[in-house]
Amino acid sequence: MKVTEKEVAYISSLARLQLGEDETRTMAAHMSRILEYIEKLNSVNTSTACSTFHAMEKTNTFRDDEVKESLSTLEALRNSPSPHSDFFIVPKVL
Amino acid sequence: MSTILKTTLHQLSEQLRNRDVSSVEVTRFVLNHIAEKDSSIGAFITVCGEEAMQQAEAADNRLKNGDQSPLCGVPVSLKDLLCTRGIETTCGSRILKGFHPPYDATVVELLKKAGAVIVGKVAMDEFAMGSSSETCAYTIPRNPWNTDHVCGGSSGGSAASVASGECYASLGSDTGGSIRQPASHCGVVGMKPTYGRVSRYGLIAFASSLDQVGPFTKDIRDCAIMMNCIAGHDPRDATSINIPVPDYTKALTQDVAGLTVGVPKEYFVEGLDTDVEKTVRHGIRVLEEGGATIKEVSLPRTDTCVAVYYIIAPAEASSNLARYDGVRFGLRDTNGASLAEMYRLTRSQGFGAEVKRRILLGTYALSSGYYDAYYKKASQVRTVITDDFRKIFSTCDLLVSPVAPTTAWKLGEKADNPLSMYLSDILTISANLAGIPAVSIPAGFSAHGLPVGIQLQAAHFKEEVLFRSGSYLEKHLSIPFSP
Repeated sequence: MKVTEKEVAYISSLARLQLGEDETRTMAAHMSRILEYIEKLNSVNTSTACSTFHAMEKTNTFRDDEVKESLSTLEALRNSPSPHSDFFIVPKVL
Repeated sequence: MSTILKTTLHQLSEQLRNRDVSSVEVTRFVLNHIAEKDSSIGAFITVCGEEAMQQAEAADNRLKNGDQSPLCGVPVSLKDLLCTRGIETTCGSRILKGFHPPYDATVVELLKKAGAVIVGKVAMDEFAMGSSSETCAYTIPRNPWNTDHVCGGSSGGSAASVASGECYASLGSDTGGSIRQPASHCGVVGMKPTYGRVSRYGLIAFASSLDQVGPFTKDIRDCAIMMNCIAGHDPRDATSINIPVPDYTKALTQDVAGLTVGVPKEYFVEGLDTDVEKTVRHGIRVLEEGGATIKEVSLPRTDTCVAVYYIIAPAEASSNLARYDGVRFGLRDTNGASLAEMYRLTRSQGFGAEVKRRILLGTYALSSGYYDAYYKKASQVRTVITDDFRKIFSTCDLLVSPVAPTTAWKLGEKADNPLSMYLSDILTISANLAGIPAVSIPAGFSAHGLPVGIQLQAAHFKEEVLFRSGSYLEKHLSIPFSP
């Protein structure tokens, strides 16, 4: 499956990545080779197979709706690249 | 005192509990050994000298008061994707430089509760994506048996730190073979538990349906001791399974009489190194001499497992790594004029090439127009592979095979060929897709003196079969665990 540089650029934008020209070219070549290999999947008959998304069969795990101890605001903000006592400060959205 | 580095965890534990040596003495000795040795091994990203000495003192107080915990006072290392409160945790990536988690992972809490001494955080492929640990942004660990060669990956630092005597055990993670393969390449024991057996709370996620934490140790008894500590239900991990944990040390019976051992024919294929095959076949004969029934079996979808994995794992990773955006932790590129530009610049600067490649592959596989052909198809083939294992384990107790097609390759040898690197995982990936437990035990050496491991796989929650057969093999193969 050939992946074009235009497709790599589109997928990069979805993934919030910015690649240079050389990077884009290399990624397109690597991805093409990998996806060509992955065509092997078509050799397996899956007409009666459901999907496996979890290794073990399990239903959703719930807990009682009780307030429990959690991180303090100070702790939660401690690793913020832009220090503030109450918020994560980021460039403007609009 | 220098011989203390050559002892196993359980031998050291006995000496500590008998008060023949103190944890402070051992820990100081280990830290000095790391300071001398690690410049040539490169296993450690962060050495926690001060914290380790404090933990050693606390452990000595517990031992003085008669604490019998087998891990009390024992120096261990942790793969740098396990959250350690207040200690930098980088996942081998620039994007998490300076990240100090506000909490400990559950497995870290359990080790601390048992009195273990954490000497440091060790090197790994960036975000656990790799098979050689060469994508680590901080230090590339070298194989203690031959420092021109890789340790394997992604838990290369864990394997190297145990094999070089820089600690007595380590915790790593295994998503497609990242414990078993470096264990094989570095000549130590490495176990991937059943999915859900060990909590993933605080394990920084790569592929959530495949990741499992597991131990690296010098021998199988040490592995059982570590598993006793870390296994068990955790309500903070929604995928943690609530099944009682047996005492795995009681399964170390060194006896295989009556076991039916399957040898999957698809694991002995073209490209398998002759030294690896010779060593593993010798291990199979040893099992047969011990009274096991050996039979050839078939796992017909083995040749598709790499394809399945390299759709599912990158797809899950593309979602898991979306959180690295410069907002709440880690690297932030401040040159962006807008929030969207900040995300793009931060992520592009912070992630290495392999991580970007897998994020792109995963995003592609999940994108509109391709989801059915790639992700849905891969998840269906995963069901077929899991069913293949269920059928096999209805007639076999155990599967035995090589861990990897080759021994550890030279540093840089596969750096420019990602597909070649991916194909080296062909013998380990299926266990993650099916969620079954598996272990690598040292089995011998190649003609060039590089370690070869033998892989044992069992049905879900049958780690005891691995300990039973692994202890038998270890006794009868008698392979040294450090250079």
